[in-house]
Amino acid sequence: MARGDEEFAEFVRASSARLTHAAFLLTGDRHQAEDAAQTAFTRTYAAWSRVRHKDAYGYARTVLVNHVIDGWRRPFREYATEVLPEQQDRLDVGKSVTQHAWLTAVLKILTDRERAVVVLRHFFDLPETEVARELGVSVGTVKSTNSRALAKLRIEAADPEDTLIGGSGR
Amino acid sequence: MNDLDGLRAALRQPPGEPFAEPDLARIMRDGTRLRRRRRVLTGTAGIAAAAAVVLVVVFAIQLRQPAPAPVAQPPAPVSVTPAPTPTTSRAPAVPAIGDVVGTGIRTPAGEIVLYAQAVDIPELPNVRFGLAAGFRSGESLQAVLLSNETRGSDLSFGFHATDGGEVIRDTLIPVFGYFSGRAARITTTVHGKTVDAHLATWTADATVVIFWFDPAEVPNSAVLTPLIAYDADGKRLTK
Repeated sequence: MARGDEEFAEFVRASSARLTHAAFLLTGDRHQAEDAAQTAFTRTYAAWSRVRHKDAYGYARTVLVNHVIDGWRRPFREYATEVLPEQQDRLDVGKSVTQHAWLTAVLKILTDRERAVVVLRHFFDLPETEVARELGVSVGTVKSTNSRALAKLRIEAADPEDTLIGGSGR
Repeated sequence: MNDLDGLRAALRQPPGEPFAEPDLARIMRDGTRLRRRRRVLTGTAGIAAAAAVVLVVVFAIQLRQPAPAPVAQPPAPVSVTPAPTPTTSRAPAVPAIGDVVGTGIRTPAGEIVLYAQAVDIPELPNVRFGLAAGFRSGESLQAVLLSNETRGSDLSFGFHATDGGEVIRDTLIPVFGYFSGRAARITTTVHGKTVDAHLATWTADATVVIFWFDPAEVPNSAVLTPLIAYDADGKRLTK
């Protein structure tokens, strides 16, 4: 195997779980998530020579997110919410099974854009400016969408910028 | 731990059943088919002196199979939707094949232009030309990126040489390529929205359409989804 291919194989091993997990959060479907990850890695491999020394992970993430979004109804569903979820108990990481089930259910209630913002912002830890760039919307839209999504999730985050420190996107 | 920390923890909680590992062999096989031979041209020499320019051969992304089977027969000659400010030159001072197509994108180095250029690659006998992106300033024409087909024929039905969407010499080169077939519309989706490419018929072969996307709408190749070509009646030409 060529050196570049070895590097790519290592890249896939190191990042596949996280990217597939993100795809699952975006789609709510395991098979779609695995297919999206496969597609993202395929296109990243095609561009490997020019992204391997840059931000290969960011490239793969962007391909993944746009691939998933492309599979949704276009443009973004802005009015997909049916009914706000009943008030949930506050999240408790100790109740992992219940929490996972709740998360899966409640993410489906969010609109596509809300779900995308939540995943990019709170799963990938991307700063709002980068979320805006990834989704092709304004920072203001990211802020308002994030706020609306958290409200649906019954999350109190008076100042999420202070809460989410880092923003490495990794 | 506050609510937001709890949400983040929930989002990152691994699934009960691990996801399937990506099929690495298939990724490499399919990814190889998407690759294109491309040359980033360095230096300041014009295209006429391209043979003396150091060529860095790397690969580029192509979003589609090089020659997808047509789902409909290309119709009779169609009128191609013109780009907002396309300009062409019938007397280029460089060995372009057919007219040089102006994109209307002005940069300090000149207008970004696209044009076909002959290639001679012994292992690719059915590939006789590639598509170059470059700058035109007055009579000067300077290529910065050359992309060509690497499989089959350069004129097989479908998309070819899709490239660009990256900064070269401090300038964002738009995503560009050509479609062999009478496409009247070419689209992709970015952030879930359909984006139309600018089109120009290649004057050396009216069955070939050169296309490019507005960099403001398609800032890089990563945001693209597979390209789709339509005929003048709005019928999809590609799957």
